[in-house]
Amino acid sequence: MQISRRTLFQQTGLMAAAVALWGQGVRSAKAGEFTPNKPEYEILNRFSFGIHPDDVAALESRGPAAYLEEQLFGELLDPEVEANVQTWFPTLALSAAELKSLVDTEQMVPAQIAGELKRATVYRASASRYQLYEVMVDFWSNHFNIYHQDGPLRLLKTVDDRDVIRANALGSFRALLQASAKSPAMLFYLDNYSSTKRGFNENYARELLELHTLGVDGGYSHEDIEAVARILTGWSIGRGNSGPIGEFSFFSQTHDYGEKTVMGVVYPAGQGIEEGEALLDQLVDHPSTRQFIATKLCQRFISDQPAVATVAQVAEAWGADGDIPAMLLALASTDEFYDKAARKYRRPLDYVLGMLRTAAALVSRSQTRMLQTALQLLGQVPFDYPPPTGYPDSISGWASTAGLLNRWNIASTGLGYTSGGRLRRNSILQPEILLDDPQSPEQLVDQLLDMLLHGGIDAEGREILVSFAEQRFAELETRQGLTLVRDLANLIYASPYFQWH
Amino acid sequence: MVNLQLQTETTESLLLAATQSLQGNMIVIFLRGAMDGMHAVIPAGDSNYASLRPQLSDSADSAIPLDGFFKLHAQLEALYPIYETGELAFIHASGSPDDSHSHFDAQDYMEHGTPGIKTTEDGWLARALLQTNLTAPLQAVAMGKSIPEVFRSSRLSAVAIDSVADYGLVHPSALLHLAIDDIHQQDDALASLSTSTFATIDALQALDADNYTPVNGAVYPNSTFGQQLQDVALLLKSDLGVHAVNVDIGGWDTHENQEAQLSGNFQQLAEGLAALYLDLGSLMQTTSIVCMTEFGRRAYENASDGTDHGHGGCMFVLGKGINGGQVLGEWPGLTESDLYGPGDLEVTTDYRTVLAELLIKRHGYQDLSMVFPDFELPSFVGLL
Repeated sequence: MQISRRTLFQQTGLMAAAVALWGQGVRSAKAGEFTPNKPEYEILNRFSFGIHPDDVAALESRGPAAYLEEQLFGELLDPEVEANVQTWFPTLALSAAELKSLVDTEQMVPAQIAGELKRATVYRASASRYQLYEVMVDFWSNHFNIYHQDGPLRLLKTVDDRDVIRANALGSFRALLQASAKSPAMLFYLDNYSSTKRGFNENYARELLELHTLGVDGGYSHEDIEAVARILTGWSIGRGNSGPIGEFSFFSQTHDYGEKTVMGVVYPAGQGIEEGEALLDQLVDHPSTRQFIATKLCQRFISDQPAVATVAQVAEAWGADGDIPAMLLALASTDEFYDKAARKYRRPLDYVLGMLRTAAALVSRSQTRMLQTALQLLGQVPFDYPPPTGYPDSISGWASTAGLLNRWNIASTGLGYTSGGRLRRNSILQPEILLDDPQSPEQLVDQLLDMLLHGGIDAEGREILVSFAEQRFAELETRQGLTLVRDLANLIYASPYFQWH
Repeated sequence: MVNLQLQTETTESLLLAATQSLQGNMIVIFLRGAMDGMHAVIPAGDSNYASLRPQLSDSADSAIPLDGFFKLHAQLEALYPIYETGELAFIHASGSPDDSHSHFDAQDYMEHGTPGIKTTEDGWLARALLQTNLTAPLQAVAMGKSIPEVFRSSRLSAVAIDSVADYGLVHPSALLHLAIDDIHQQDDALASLSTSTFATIDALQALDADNYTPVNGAVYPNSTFGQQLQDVALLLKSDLGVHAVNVDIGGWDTHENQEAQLSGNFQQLAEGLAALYLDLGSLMQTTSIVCMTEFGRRAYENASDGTDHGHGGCMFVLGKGINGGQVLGEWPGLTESDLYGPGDLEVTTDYRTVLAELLIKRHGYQDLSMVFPDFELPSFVGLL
């Protein structure tokens, strides 16, 4: 309680915005229905990993339209965050050849390189003010999932993350797909690099249709998969003598130059790499693809079962090339986006980052290592999901007894509890910095709720918190005060209200 | 529309038919990613085998003869003694009748027990449990962090346990624990999950998992899978009412460099199963262990010394008292006209036939119309 919330806002120069804001929320709720925060808060709620005090200030000062515009078309790279990434995780800037030479000269082992990418990914998502960009990076990283624990992938994924996913996360789906199809990491992960005219490997071809573009019911047959695999023979990775090492290379000598037909479109004999590029365009332009991508976006940002009309509205914004910002704007224009009943269960990554951002935690380099441990316990370390689907994005994939227990424990650990039950003052989550001299159990609870849940609780839930605070409120003026605040925050983070976006 | 009706009927009939009892225990080991049955139980006696798999058939040289036609991959050696005593059977060319080559659809179909029907929302093992009079909160346990589709049901609370020893709360205050459960009762979707989590904590903490010692010389592999199997043994030996268990093991999608990948996987699988079998001892008289996978792999190898997605696979069943020591099922052959679809091993035994034989002849079920709706039972493969 050394730094009050007032001071925090003065420090960040956001006092005016904050004053305008905190009048809303829990305290305005009397009996029965809780009055939620303003509808535009859904932009922060749905389009971020968790609402940081600075996000609220930015939305309030600029208004929702300008805020969204900056989120979609602004710099996208938070200078302070990127400066830290550069210093803390220098391998993120390196090419495949440079990474390989680090390993060859025994300056680093592949696991360290992979670790830098995982830690940088979580750090950026926790700290960047361009939250929607980081959220979309995560979305596409799962859509074009690459498992990070297999041989050269520990190096190549660094390049894929930078040059495919982050370069196109808020661009066009066409550019993203073309880049992904030529990504050495993807070609290795789904085995296309070794597919030749003598015996093609259909792994990438199948997942390209099933998971990346058309969807499993998108209207293709097994013959189409074979034709796609033949078209993509020779799409491979340079090995020094055959193209730059670790870069995309087209091997004409292993390419199948025969005629192929994919869903009625004939690719005449004699074509090389250009028929693969044309095929990717065919897939981008197929109506099943926009339907599939729009559905996944709605499932990510609205609920596991979005309304048909909502998906249609988003699919309509596809445009010529799969315009990602336009689809996100369309999402934010649907009624369902502002419907509190359409709720989305937090995945473990959302849960951990949500705690960090709502508590305004400043993550240090060494703490990024702790975050990996937390995510490992919860089962969602970045790029650590072996099947090509990417991590599940529905409640059924995450809600379980083990899932809840681990979340409750991660909240306790983050708030400073050791496994021996001791409380450490110096922990990653320090919610006491958010308080502004509360005078009653109600004020204490409401101040925490304002920051951690932003209105996402009902009167009954609040009552449970208040009665918990009442029993121990006298502690607040003693050395035990910290324990009470941490325990209340633990209860809020462990509560069902925080399990949903 | 048809499927919606099916759901309603299923629920109503379940309420009427809740009279059967699950005798013993059913352990499902799901090999996710499509395990190549032809690389595990090698059809070395089929004259077409070596020409379809010129590279991969090298593994037949070191394999262990099972019956003059089939050979067991050398890295599955730990299973051979159990096969020899007749307590392990392989059911070859088995699988789902649906010809999906998508891992994710095929797994769902198989676990829901209704191949080809996407709208089924519950798992076959959950339906089987709901037909019984079992009430223990831990009757269905999924080893891992999440609940697999086989246990999916709005009416069954399967419990997910990633580690018995670590299943406890970090926060020291019982007051906070109470408040956590209390506040979860405000949320319809999570209320029972919270209750069940606290019940599980209480039950598991009494087990003293840290001091568990496997018996009969069982040595579990040093891996997550091995740890989970050891936890399964601990749970089944305890008095917690655990009857159905699912354990997942991944890493079977071997499009490339298959021999190297499968060698490691086979060894871990075989050593784990053998340890669990030994450790459970006489409990294996009433316990069935079934290994299944979403589909088998292409009969011919691809250009990367691997295999692409196929159809017919191979199931493993372990249990004392089964007609083991043989490879069951009808071998469909590997000539071009024998192969199915793009060149796959045909499915000659529906996987539900195998499960049905176990449920009826070993676990006390009479009627499986709710467990496998619209499935007309063909003749059994002779497991029991």
